[in-house]
Amino acid sequence: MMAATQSSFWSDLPPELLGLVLKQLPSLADRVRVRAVCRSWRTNAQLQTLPPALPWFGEIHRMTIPHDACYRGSVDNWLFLVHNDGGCSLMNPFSKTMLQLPKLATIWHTGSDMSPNSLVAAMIVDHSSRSGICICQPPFATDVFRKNEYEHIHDIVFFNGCLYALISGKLVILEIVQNHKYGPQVFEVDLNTNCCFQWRRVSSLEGQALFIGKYSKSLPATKCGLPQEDCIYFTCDYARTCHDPSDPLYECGVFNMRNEMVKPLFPETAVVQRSVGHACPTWFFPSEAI
Amino acid sequence: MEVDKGKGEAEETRKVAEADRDTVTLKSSDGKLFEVSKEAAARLSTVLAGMIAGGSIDDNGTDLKQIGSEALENVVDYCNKHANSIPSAALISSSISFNTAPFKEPEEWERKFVDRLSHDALFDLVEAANFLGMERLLDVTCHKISEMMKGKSPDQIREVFNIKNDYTKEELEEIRQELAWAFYDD
Repeated sequence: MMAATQSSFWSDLPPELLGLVLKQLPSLADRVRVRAVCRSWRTNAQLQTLPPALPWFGEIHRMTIPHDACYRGSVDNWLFLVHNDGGCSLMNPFSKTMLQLPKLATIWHTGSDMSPNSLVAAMIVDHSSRSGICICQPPFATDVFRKNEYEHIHDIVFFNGCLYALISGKLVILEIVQNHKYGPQVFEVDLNTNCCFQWRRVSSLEGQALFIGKYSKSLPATKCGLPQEDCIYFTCDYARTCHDPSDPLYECGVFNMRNEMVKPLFPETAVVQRSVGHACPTWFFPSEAI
Repeated sequence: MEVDKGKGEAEETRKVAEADRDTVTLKSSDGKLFEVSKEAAARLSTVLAGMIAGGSIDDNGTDLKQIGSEALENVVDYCNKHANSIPSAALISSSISFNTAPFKEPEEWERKFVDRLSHDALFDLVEAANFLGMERLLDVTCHKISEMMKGKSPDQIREVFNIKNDYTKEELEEIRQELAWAFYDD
């Protein structure tokens, strides 16, 4: 690349204006590359308070992970890794910080005898005895059901096609609702009602944007600078053998609840690199401190 | 005041006529005069709105010493193009914080408006918009600049904006190592 002998006036773009430009670059990678252009931009960019960078649906990056590990998902700006020796860890791919997780007594693997329509429920209890029930039916995204912190889920069991849970001394039946006929439907459940859980279909996300995939999260749409509200961004979370390795964006999209239309995830695919090999996309929510 | 009644009346009439004028005259740093729709100027620029409300508009041309004629012509052109458009809520409110306001995509004519500008003119216009407190024009011009950066490597951005790479080799290597994931040109 030809290096200019004399910088143009652009390097003197006032910090507040550079901030406005960066604000319109929701991709963290773009922001990082702009900051790397020259010293004054790097310094000036640091003076600006920017809205958080968007989850990475604008780009696909290859992240290096340790050779002995296999990536299994992400949580905020951490990658969840399972190592060959069975240990689990969280890795921040920017700082390379590694957090060892306690060894799991048993690691649950998808059994080969599972039919594609199997419904799987798992109970999760953490150190503080907070408990939750995780329900999934491949290939659809996992649902996590968690009671408030005062109520403890003791056990769950499938019986006669129903999922029963013993929650704080009460036996409750969990109704699992699914309807994938016309795209996602969103339900909310009233956890305050004792015993029976009323699932109510909602038509609005009330300003939230849902990111669904191997790791799911909801964020306020306007805070992220997303142009539309009531949208659900989804990535394919099938087993990786299901997709075409040359297209990591297989079965990804944006579902707009208002018009019930599904659109491609990236209307402008200019920055999408597809040559990422055998990879499974995940949502990644970068923190701004980079 | 009313020494000459006839003259007083004439003055009164003239003042009324001025108040009714639907344009204001702006003067660039190099002395050129431009007419701009008063309504659009007040709606799009917090600075001009303040001057109009405060009566500090000069009929012979309000001095804007910080803005050259080319940039001012673009500002005026933008305001006049906006004059007949229906203001949306997002454009009227100037108190929206930069961090929370949802960005409204430039409209087709706004895109064309900034697309035809040279890099120099774009730079001058973004500075003029900043000086005049024109939030929408700032958004549109900064959006254009961000489009010129999107998906590009630092080298490509330097080339587009003719910026010298003033990092030492060691510093550059450090940045690349640290942020290898963000560089395409590896």
